[in-house]
Amino acid sequence: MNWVSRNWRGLLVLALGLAVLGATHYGLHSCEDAGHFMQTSTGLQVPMRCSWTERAVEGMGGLVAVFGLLMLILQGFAQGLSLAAGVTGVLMFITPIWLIPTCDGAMMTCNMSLKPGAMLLGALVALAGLGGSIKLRTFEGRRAMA
Amino acid sequence: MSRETGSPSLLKLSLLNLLRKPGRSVGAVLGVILAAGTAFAAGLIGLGVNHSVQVGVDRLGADLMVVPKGAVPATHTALVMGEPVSFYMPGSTTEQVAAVPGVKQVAPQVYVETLSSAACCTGRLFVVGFDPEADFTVKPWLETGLRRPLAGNEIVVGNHILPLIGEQMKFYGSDFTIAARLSGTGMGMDETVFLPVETVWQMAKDSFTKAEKPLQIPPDSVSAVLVRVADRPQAEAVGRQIEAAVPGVSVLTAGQVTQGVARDLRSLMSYLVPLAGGVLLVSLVLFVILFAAIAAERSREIGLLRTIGATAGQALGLLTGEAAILGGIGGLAGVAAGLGVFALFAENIRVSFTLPFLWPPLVAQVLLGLAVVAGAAGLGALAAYAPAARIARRDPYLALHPR
Repeated sequence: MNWVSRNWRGLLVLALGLAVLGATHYGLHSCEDAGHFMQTSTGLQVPMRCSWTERAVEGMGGLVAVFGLLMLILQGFAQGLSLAAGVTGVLMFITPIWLIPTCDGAMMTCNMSLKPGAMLLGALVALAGLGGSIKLRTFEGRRAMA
Repeated sequence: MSRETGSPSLLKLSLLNLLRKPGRSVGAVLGVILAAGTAFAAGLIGLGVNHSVQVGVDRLGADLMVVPKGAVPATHTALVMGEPVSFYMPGSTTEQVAAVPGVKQVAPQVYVETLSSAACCTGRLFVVGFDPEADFTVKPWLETGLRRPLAGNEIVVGNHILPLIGEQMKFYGSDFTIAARLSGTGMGMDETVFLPVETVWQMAKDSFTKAEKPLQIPPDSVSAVLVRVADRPQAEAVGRQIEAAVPGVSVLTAGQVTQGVARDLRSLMSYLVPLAGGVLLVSLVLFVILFAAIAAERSREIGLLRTIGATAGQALGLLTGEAAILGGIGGLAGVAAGLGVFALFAENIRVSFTLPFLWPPLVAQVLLGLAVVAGAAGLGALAAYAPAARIARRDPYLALHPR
């Protein structure tokens, strides 16, 4: 079994983490990216809450990428790291709808771009992480029996 | 293998065979998921757009809309997407249109674009002033839904407008209370605010002292005249008569709205259909290759089954059954994935392609899903048929000794 075949789960998690980072930074837009701000009573323009959603998702993407990298280096901990990546995916999925909800208007930039994108990527990370963890458990179990 | 227990045993055998190499099964199913998901999403969009247009045109209640010349495209966008527009024509247009033969009922409307508010992030809104006496768009709903006329500062809002019933909205410095919310249509009405036309005039008057920028509407003017004709099939002919009789106006028919939406839908489908078709083709080729390999690999197993009494049909059923199960699972996962991804990006697609959309009834969605799953299972079996038939019909001795 070559290196890629042995480590594809770690590579997948790393790729997904980098995809989340890249997509959130360049492809998925919050209202701030579209130039919309909230104005306080003193006239100060502050970012809307979807800006924080974007940063949180970006951070989670970075975390998932680190998990993927560690899965490649610390192969003995791959199952736990995969599980952690999966849980981070679940958090990523619920961030724009519950943890740091995006703005209220359905037609606003964040709800048309950041929210669906983050939820889709979160679901993919969760599937890859949790699925990989189950698969690794089975793999470890077979190895132990052998 | 007895004939009485043939089918369940075949099913079990097929499932066990698929689970024997889960990686290969998952690989084969991925293409099906993509094709089925795209097909389901495309079907859902088609159903949802048609449903929305039906509900929206019924709610509008008009056979024709008379607007100033050149304002038809903007009116279409306002009707479909709720994009604010404001244009005006003389108020006498209403009487001129009413006098055209074939016209049964007319209802003038005044359109206003609100200023984007710094304190609120909902942006511009489309405000429609209706004549409470003549209106047939909002008034019938008020009679059954609200069961009372609107008070001076009350408004009715479309289904997508954010604030709740009883809350206030501010337009041009005037405060209004939301009295009712219309049910969803998936069209521009969901993004529209309705209020009596007298209130619009009062708001315009007050805006000179209350608003950052005054609302300037030419006195005694209307934006559109909604028309009901006496004989519906003659609506287009009446529309032409109106354009001939009243100078400076254009007529938008319900049929034109439907045609415009169909044009935008075709534009979206021109991306989706080739994508689904291409992925489907690749999946079919993959299935043929995969089952050719599986059939060759399991030649001895099939030969053994034939030796102990299984018929060629049962052996064929075993292999095509596996393909059908694989296709069906892929179809089911594809439907779930297509539904999920479409639900996430529905608003984005709606805006990008200027399409109205209202979720079709649940029964229609379930039937569409079942059709996609059945199609995926059927095509899977069809793709595996040729290699499966070749191996199933082989002489049992030759199947047991392939070389």
